Amino acid sequence: MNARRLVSFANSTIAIEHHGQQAGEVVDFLYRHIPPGSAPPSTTYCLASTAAGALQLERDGLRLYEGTEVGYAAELLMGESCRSLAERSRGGLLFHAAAVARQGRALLLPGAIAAGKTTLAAWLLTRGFDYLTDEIGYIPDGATTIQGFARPLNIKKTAWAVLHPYLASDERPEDRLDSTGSYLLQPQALGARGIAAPLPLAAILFPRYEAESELVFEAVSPARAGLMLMETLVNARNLPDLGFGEAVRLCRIVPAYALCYSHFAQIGERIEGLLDSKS
Amino acid sequence: MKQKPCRQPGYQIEALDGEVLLFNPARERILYCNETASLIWHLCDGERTGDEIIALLVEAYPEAAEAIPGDVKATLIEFARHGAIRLE
Repeated sequence: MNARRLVSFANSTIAIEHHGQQAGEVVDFLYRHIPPGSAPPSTTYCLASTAAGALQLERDGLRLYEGTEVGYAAELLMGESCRSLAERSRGGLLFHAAAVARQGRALLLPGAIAAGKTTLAAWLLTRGFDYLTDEIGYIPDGATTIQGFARPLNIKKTAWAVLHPYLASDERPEDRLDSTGSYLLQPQALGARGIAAPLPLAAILFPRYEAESELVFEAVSPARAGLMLMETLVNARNLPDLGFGEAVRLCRIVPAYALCYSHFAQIGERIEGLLDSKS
Repeated sequence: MKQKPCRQPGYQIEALDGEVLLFNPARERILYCNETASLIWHLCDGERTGDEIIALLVEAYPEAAEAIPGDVKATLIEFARHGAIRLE
């Protein structure tokens, strides 16, 4: 079974080709929640099942991986996808961020690697939030709606023990793919109510996990939020003034907060409170 | 502080609720300035010494007189470290 899928996000498009049943299953697992793209792709990835039972991954004809570690190949392909999409993204701000939603309002969770944004997003899904992304979120120029790249969540195995008690009891094996240091998990396995379409951005929350810390949950000034957002902007080189003007515009409109936590029980319903409609 | 700090060209200034972001696209640098640092930035016109900036702020904010010299010195060092000012 051979096929080609276009993946478009943030004004950037890549192509994913797959050959063979196992490769097709991996591609479906990774991209099933991402609407098909249409623009000419800048990069083409090819995932192929070999006669020997291995998987080969290539980017524009360059071999990236060949082996039997299905989870590793999947994680590598998804990481490459995000990187390639970000490299050519323009026309808006693309953040290294998770994003979730509640009552039709979105929350952006920007942060560097290991800030804890995926783990926090996963926990919020178990509390009934809708899923947008755990990796990259896009806000078009002049807008305050956010689009999420709805890939399977990439949950580090070190975070798994913390999240496992919150997982849906009827987790299906086909919703999870095991990689070397992480699990790729479909949002439904966390009880996510749905995969959210572009939604109005109601708040920005900068998370930071810190073992044994006291809870810190505080408002962040627009100027400081602007600085912190610029630090997580991944397509700055493609934007006028590196996206500074748009980031400042966003911070003038959308309230921002910072969260430092060491366990979920500290947080309570504070995050729900950021998004619940004020009557 | 006898030297006269002078703002370097190429910085865009965005004021947000009393705080300021200084952005230099050519150097890909952003500096966050709280309200005090914002004031100091605006006083770095190449005409005043660091001591004169301190004196001016102490006169305007006598209740903060004890903290102002240290704040001014630390802020000017930070500006200079980022290349946002030169000392003449």
